[in-house]
Amino acid sequence: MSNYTTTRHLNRHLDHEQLCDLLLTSEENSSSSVVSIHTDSTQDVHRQHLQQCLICAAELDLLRTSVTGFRAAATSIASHALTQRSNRPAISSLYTTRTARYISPTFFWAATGILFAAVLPLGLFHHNLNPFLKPHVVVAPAPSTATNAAPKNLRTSESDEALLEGIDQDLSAAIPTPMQPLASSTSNETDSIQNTQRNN
Amino acid sequence: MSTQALSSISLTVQQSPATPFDDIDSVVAHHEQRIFRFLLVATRDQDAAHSLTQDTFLRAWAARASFRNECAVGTWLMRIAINLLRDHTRTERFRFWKRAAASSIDVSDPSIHLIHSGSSAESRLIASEQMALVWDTVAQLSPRQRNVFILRFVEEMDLAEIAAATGLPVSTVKSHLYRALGTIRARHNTANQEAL
Repeated sequence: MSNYTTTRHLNRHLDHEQLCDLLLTSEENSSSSVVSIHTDSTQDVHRQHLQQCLICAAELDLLRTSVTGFRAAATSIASHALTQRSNRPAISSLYTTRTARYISPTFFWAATGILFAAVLPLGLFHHNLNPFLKPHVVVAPAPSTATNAAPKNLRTSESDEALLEGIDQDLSAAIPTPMQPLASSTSNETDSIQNTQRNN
Repeated sequence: MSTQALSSISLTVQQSPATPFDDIDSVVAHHEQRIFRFLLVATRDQDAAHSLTQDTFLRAWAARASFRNECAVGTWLMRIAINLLRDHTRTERFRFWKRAAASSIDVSDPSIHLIHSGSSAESRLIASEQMALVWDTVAQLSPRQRNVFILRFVEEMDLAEIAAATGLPVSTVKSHLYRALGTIRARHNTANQEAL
C-alpha cells in the first residue's frame, strides 16, 4: 500500500463496515474467519486511524460498550432464569418419561379419525341413539291413565287433610297429664304476682 | 431370509457407531445454558425458551444417529434450536405469547444491574441506558438478523460457526451483522440527538 493511500485512509473517517470489522475483530481476536474479513494491513491502517480520530474511536467504543452490556445482561438474565427453573425436573430426566408418554400429532389425529369412524355409524343407524331416526310416536290421550290418576290425587289430598287435622288437634289439646302440676303452679304464681301489682 | 443374514443384520444394528449424544447427561450439562440463553434472548419468553431448549435436546437425542461429526456438537444443537425457533415463531401460539408477554423479560429486571455493581452510579446509568437501547433494537430486528446478532455477540460464535448453524453463507451472515449494527448505530444517533 502506497504512502498516499495510507494517508488518505488516515484522513477519512471509517465507514460503517470498517467500524463493524474492527468491532468483530476486537470481539474475537482468535477467530480466523473474522480476521479474513480484511487483510491485516488494512486493519492496521484502520487502527492507526482510530488512534488519531477521536470521533471514530468514540463510535467504536460506543458500539463495543453497548454490545458488551447486552451480552452481560443476556447472560445474567439467562443464569437467573435457569436458577429459577432449577427446582423443576432436569431435561435429561425427560427422555425416559416424555418419550414414553409422547403421542405424535399424526398418531393422535389418526386415532381420533378411527374413533369417529367407529362411533359415527352407530349414531347414524342406531334408532335409540339418533333422535332423527326415531319413529314418530303420536301421543294420544290415554283415558285409562287419566281415570286412574284422579282417585290417586283424591287419596293424596285426603291423607294430607287428615295429617293437618291431627296436628291441629295436638296443638289445641290440653296440657298432657304429666305436665299438669307445672301448668297449675305457673298459673297460680302468675295470678299472685298480678294480684300484688294490683294491690300496689 | 436365512439365519446367517439375520445375524449379520443384528450385528450391524448392534455395531452402530457411538455418538456424543449417547451420554445425553453430559451433553445437556455442557450445552443447556448456551442453548437456553440464545432461545431466551431470541424469544424474550422464559417458558417458551425452556420448552424449546427441552425440545432441542429431545430432537438431538432422537436424531443422534444422523450426527456425522461434521461440525461441533454445540453447532449442531444450535442448528436444531434455530430450526425449532423458526417453526415456533411461525405458529399462532407464538403470536399469542408475544401479545400476552406473561413471562417476558423486562429490562428493569434487577439482575441486570448486578453486572455493574462495582462501578459508579453515573456509569451504571449510562451503561444501563445503552444496554436498554440495544435490547429494544434487537427486538425490532428481523428474525434472521436477530439470530445472527445473538449468535455473534452473545454466544460469541465466529462467522463460520454461525454460517454452519444457520445454513447461510458467510457473506450473508456478515451482511446481517452489518445491518444489525447499523440499526443500533442509527438508534444511538437518534437518542443522542433527542438528548441534545
